[in-house]
Amino acid sequence: MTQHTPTAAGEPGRSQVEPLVVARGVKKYFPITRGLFRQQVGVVKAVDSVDIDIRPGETFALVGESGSGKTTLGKVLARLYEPTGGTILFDGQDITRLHEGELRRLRRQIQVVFQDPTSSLNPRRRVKEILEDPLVIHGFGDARQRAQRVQELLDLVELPREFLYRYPSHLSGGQKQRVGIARALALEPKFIVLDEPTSALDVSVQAKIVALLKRLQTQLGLTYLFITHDLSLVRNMADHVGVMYLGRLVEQGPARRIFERPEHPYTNALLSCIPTVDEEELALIPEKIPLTGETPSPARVPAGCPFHPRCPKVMDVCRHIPPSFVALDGNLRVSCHLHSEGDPGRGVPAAS
Amino acid sequence: MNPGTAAFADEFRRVWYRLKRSSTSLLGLGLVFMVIVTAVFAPWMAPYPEDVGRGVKFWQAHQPPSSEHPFGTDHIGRDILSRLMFGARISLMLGFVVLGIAIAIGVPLGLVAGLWGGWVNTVIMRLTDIFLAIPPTLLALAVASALSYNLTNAMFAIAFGWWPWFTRLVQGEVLKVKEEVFVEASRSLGASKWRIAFKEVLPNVLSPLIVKATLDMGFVILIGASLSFLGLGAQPPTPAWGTMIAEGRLYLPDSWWIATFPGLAIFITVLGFNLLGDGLRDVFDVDLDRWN
Repeated sequence: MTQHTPTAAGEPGRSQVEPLVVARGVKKYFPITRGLFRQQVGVVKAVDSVDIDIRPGETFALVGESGSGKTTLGKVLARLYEPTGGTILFDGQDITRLHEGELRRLRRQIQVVFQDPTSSLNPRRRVKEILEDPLVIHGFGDARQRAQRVQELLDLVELPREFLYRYPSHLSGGQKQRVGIARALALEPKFIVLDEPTSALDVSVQAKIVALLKRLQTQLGLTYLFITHDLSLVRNMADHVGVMYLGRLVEQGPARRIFERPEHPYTNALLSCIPTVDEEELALIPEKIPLTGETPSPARVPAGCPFHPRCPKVMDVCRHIPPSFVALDGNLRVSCHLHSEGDPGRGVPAAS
Repeated sequence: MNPGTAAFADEFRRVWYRLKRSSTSLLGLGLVFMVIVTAVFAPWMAPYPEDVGRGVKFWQAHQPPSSEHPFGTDHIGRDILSRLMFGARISLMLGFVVLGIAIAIGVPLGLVAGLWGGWVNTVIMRLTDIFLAIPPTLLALAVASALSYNLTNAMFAIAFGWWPWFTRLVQGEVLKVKEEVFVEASRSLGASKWRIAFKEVLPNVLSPLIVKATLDMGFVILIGASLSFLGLGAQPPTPAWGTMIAEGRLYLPDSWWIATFPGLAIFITVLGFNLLGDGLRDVFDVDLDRWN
């Protein structure tokens, strides 16, 4: 874990609170098969050796380009996927390998809000049935109590009650996503994985959904894993940020610290791409670093540091040796040779 | 009105609105409606009884169509029109029973094959392949001839070879639907596979199912008539259309009406279901070509 370096402003004593989710060396590999007998010809390392701590009540934002494995990591942490390796603790309990029954019980605690509300709601079922579903599955009360709970849920996400008997096709994108959020809240979970919950919505609607999510978090004491590629959203949503590149977490730390002084060239490049509208925001953007080329395929991750083919500050060592994590001031952890042992004045190898 | 019923009425109105724009679908619907009404009200509508019991009315036999007997009478003096009306009951019952059995067996197997995958899928789908490799009429013929000849066994014989059509249809649809995010969402809520099969997947498979069942209705009735024509189905004096053709065949071409009108009844019924099925296919926008 990170050492007890002075914590950044805005999150006093973060490291003293017991984390709700602890992931260590989590891997998710997908086999690539070919031919009639489905021989395995390779492997996609969608998530590779990721360590994460998510503390109760906070929003941990996972950012990265498409294909960086952020959604896969989210689904592994929500245990929609079984990890290939590593361990995951949830509320102190090991949830890495679970039987079907244990997994079902875990679903009450961990829920997911999906990216596209249109495809995540069954077009053939009414809002009432969709919201009742989790209650029926987990044997919540009788029909009357369930009906009442469904109404509470609609109130919670600020939808009028006459929506009960509508089909999803009669709702707007934002309304559908509210139904998706209500469904995730039905079982009163502690931890919600938000998989790009606003990226399929209009910008004006996005802001309302974000405001709703924030309100629900304080009201219900929720912990969020917020997966997104929209860094401007991260800035007003997240307490903690993890930056993913090719299945690896390359930098993580308090949101403010990362936005003020990103240490990894990749984070730097991502931040410099945020569109700005005024001087104040512009001042927050670090020096412009252009990203060239495409993200390599996760089936063929480059040797050494996976970012080296695109890195503007690439050094010889980057091509051969994968960097390990280094803890820096402000509770920041970064995996980059710029901060490795070669530069003892700044970095200390992170004890894991 | 209950809002749930209102939503159903909405859906019904939507189907009706689109169906009525096509004249051939309306014709199909009209024909099917006519056959169903005839079957249901046959005892009240038919001008004569379906059979004459032991008495053969020689003085009334082989009468050509007239105002008294619009479709004529057969070789023992029975009114053809009345017998056709009662025969509609047999044809429709055969169709509904056969498809009912085929759907009851075929749909769950298709859901299981598609959702469970792996060796379960392989076993079920190879089994359906075996059945589908045999022409359905031939298979029904073989099974029916191995049993004693009556209507119940004829229905069983057709259903025996019919369920694989539904298994294959549903399995294909499941493979499409199961990649949808809402299935994953249901899984993330802790839904069991059976719940996903019946609550999430089945409602999305309903449209092609309805279309396929309507189109099959004509086909099944045709096979049923073939079996009774060959003497493997309902036995005389039951007024099954196929049986009536078989009886009338002996008196062609002189008493042409005895065999011709049952033939027309089959033709009209099958045509009605096919036109209606085609219309529903357009309404639901279903692509069934892959399975036919």
